Amino acid sequence: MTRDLYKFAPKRKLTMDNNFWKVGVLFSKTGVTSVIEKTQLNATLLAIREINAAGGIHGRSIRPVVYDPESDPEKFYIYSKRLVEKDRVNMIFGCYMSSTRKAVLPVVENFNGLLWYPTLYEGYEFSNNVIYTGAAPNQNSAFLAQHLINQFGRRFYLVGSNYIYPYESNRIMRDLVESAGRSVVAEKYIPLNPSDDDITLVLSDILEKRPDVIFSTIVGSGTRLFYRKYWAAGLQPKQMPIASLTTSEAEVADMGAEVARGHITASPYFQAVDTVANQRFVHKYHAMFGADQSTNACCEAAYFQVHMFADALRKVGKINTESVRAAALGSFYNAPQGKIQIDVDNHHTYLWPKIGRVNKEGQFDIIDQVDTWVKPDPYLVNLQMTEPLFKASNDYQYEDHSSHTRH
Amino acid sequence: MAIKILQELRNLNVLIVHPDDRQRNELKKHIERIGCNVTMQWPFPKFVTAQTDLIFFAMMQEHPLFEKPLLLNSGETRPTIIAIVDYENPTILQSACDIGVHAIISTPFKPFGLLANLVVARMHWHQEVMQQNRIRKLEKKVRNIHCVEQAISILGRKNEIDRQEAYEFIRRQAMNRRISTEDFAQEIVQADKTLNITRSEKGA
Repeated sequence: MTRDLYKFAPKRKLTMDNNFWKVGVLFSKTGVTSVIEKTQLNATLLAIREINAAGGIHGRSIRPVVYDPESDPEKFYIYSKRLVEKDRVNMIFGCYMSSTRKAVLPVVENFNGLLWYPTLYEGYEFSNNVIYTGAAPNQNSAFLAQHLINQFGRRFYLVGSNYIYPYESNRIMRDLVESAGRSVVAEKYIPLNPSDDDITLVLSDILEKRPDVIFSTIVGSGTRLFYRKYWAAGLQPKQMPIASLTTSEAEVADMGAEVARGHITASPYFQAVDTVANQRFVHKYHAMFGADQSTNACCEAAYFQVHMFADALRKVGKINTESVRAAALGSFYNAPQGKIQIDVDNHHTYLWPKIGRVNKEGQFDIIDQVDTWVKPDPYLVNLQMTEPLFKASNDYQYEDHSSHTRH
Repeated sequence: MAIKILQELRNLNVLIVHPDDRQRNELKKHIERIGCNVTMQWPFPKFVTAQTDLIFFAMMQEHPLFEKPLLLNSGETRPTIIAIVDYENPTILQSACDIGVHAIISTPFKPFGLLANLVVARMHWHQEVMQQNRIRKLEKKVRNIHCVEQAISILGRKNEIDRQEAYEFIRRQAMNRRISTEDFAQEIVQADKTLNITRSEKGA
């Protein structure tokens, strides 16, 4: 079923087609981060299908132009250029790794397009030509640190893939850990595409140092290797869990539930979220891509951002960047994770941090969550774990309880 | 250093001196995103309050406001100064150098790069303040050394003792009276001046 969806756009001839709203989609079907990016692609196509099935927008359906940039920043650059120059697209949904977003950024800025970026990242960015729907560090790192410090001892081991997101996430985690009087026993980096030996080396160092908790920002294919080797070594998540921001349902499925069981992830969304909107989302996702396919936070953001785009487009009736952006900023949506909003000032999104622990089915049991959404603050240097960060903001009131159930 | 500077950005009072237009609005919004407190003014104010930590000011071709004394590096502590330029020509850049700005940004304004410029400007400002303090301290030290030297030679001349003895005398007396060596030396120099005046009046 997925295959049919993927094939239709790129080979189409380039015409000014007034029967469609044409948009670009850039998620990798191959390469190091394809496991997670394929779920983002699926969710994007699912949302588009829902919108089209409901009659499209002002009678016209959305037509995605899909390319596979192979987890390669250079290909992201080339395909984003092709999207804006040849396909005449100004809306692009895509990107997972920061390096790929940075590659697309100058293109959307030069052509005044709009990139919808559905992935958590390290913050410190604002572009008038990007809308960020994944978590900023103040929306997940702080909450995770707080949980780990409360639940698991004093000694933290930080390990990550060798690129910008892990560096910055580890800097933040180290700050939080040390300011709470806990210690970081090591901070290690492995290549983005690690060998068996790279993992073995880190694991033997972990065995030697015996931390209370491992904070992992290993992304992509290294994730499976790392968790598998941990498991094979007979280590116990109850005593020394791996805590992550990026190990979602997709990575868990990739490595196997028994391998991942007991480990912890902080995220604004898990498939297990109990809302009406999420039941609907998961049901449709399963129907379209198979019951064995899980949703995850990046997938959810990819899904709701298309709907937010559609709402904006419906409101203004034309797909030019200024109009759609103006309508999207400040708009609300009943996302699967709860009601969310795009911040008018920084283009990031109000989200609902949660802590999940992998159960034997390979899903996350939600073991901790905030009682209000958290405002995105991508330029916040000093994250704090104290109460105020998670206090209810006054400018927000529930407008509709129906789709968001408290847990 | 960078982390320390980034941390203090949230407490900075930033003044933007720029005509009221779209550019100023873009700049203001991004500085607020970063988390500083922003106020705006135009035309250039006669003075700025002591609470102003950082000034962005438009150094525009059509608004020649370059020589504002309150911006100059006069040896007193001044706010961090970032110039906003609309041309990169020698005239403008010379003016920026004359003032000794801590950083320069250009219009049309882009969010990306502003944080880097803020950090560099604050780093330069911190260095400037540190250097000024150091210079002040060194100047004081030189004055003190000069004064003690004078006192030593006065004592030597009057009492026919050598430098070592003279210095010991100053040190001991200062200790007894619980004042610094420099202050006591100062007294000797002052007393000598007074006596010289008396003497020269008598002689006249």
